[in-house]
Amino acid sequence: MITWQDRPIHLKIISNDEEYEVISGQNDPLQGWYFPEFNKLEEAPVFILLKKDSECEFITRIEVCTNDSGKIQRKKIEKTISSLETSLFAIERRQLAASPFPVRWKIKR
Amino acid sequence: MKNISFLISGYLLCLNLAAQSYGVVNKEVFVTDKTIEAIAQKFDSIYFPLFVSSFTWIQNEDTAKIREHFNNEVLLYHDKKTINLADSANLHIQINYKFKNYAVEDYPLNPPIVWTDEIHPDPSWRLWFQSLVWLEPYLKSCNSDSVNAAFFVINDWMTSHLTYPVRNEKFAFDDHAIAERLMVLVQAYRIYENSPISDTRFKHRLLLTILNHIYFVASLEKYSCWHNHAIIFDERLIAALGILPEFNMQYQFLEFAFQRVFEQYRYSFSCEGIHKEHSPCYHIGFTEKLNEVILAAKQQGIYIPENILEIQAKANLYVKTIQLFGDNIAIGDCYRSQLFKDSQENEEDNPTQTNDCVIAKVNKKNLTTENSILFHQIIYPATGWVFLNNKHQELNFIAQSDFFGFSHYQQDETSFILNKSGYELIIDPGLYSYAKSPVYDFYRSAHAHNILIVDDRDFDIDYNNTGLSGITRFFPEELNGMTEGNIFEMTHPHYRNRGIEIYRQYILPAINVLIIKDIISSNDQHTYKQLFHLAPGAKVEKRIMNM
Repeated sequence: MITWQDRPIHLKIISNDEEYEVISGQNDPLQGWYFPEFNKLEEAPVFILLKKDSECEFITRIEVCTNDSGKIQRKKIEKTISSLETSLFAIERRQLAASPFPVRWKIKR
Repeated sequence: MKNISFLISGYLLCLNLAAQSYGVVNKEVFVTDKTIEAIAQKFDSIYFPLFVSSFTWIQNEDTAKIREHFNNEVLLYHDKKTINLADSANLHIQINYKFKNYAVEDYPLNPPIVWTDEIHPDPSWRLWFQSLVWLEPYLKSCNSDSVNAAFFVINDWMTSHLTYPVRNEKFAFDDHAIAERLMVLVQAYRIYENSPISDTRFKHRLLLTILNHIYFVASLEKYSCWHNHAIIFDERLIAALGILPEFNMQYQFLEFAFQRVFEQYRYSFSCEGIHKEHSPCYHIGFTEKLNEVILAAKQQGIYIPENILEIQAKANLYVKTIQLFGDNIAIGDCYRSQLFKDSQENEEDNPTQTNDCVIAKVNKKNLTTENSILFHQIIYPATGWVFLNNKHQELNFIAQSDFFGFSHYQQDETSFILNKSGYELIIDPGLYSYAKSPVYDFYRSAHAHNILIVDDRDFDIDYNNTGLSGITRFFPEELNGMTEGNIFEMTHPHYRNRGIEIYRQYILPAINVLIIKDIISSNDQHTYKQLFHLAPGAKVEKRIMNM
């Protein structure tokens, strides 16, 4: 569960990870920072989920909850996910073509 | 029951067939216009040598060259009060300028001006310092001492830069500092002509330095093709020429600058009218410039190619998409504080000041009335951006996978941000500084974004990979609303050299649920990490549930 003291929202995170860690304001190596202004850095936690594998699906679900949000209808959601995935699976995956950066104009003097 | 199953299957089949027919969108490969390239090369071969020669003209205060390149009126002497600029050397010039975005302290600028000064490590500070744009408030001041001081600084710059190249002085003649300075010089000339100050030597030097700058900016010496700085070169050249009717070749140079900048714009925006340098803030800035350039072309009677007008229309439409998602979006190389400040100012001070804003508000209203749509989806498959918000616009989700080059590049393809009810939840890091440092390396790295990291390594930088990031599967907009939720898939090529292929699917089955599915192919064992950069103040309170 991820919460903020100053906002009425929290996140529930469910994943098929093996481990997790939270890093905030780390210097070596740098991690857990954000940049609210030019030349200014402030701590902001990064939530890291870890999995060791070769070929796999690494799946994380984030539920955005508010005080007044109703109960999440998990069965309905599972059904929708299944339907969405089936539909997406039927779409042919686009093969992206390399688009090389154009050659700069040469100086001919 | 069977009938219901049949109906559902039939519905899905229709959906799939329709989706398949829209699913394949070919990315464009940009083909340069050789005719315009040849014109640019011809201008370069004629005018760069003249730029080099012009230093001698400036040193000699060569009035013959002024007569040759400007109309006769420039050397006519108006009846002016005779205040000699040389007197201003006796003034105690105290230009205290603030470094917007760089430092809070004032920088007192007293003669002699140290043009090699490097008081800030960020290279963009030196570019700004050398551009002289900070003199504009002094030039435009009602106070004659301020105007005089600005002329003094300009004179100092001109007499301190009489050779090329300039050693140990970055941006004296480099990048768009010179194009910005050209505009300042022409403005100074206009102001000088209407001021009581009379200093013939200054005026001649100023005219010849303007000539020197026009020739440089029109050459290819530091012209960054296919980069936003090339656009700034031409845009400043056009603006300067527009207020310099005394220049004999004003129209020829204008025609050339428009042709050259249109070619740069043709590259800089995707076929969907989205600026290719990774950031909504850049899109907004360069669309404003495009609008100004097209307006200037119309005023000057210059031909505007049809494809440029198409880009303009699409680019302005995309600005409205950005506005729908909160005026400005903190993704990529954007100053977060500036974005949010601009957004607040727009909201509080002038909510419906321009027609565009009014249209954006109307669009917002329309969105909320589409009852059947769980998520409103705006997808740009050729550029790699997806914008989703729910029908009450409380939840904003934006993901992107654009990668056309390394200008203002951050290793962030397949990353996303998530806001709800105006609160940032999962964020992009923002922009720290252009000065090279460990922090610079960090905020541009894969580790600073909401993506999958393999073996704790950042992306491999390979110039052959441009274009290989993008959206690979999605539901086209026409089908939006036919499904309950939303799903799409993106990829990037930056671990392929290590034999790892990643496709990231985002699934939004309900307004408050987001699923991130990384589909990874590899023959070897690796450590995969999903990163979620949380808005400051976040606390992870309990062990998360495992699936």
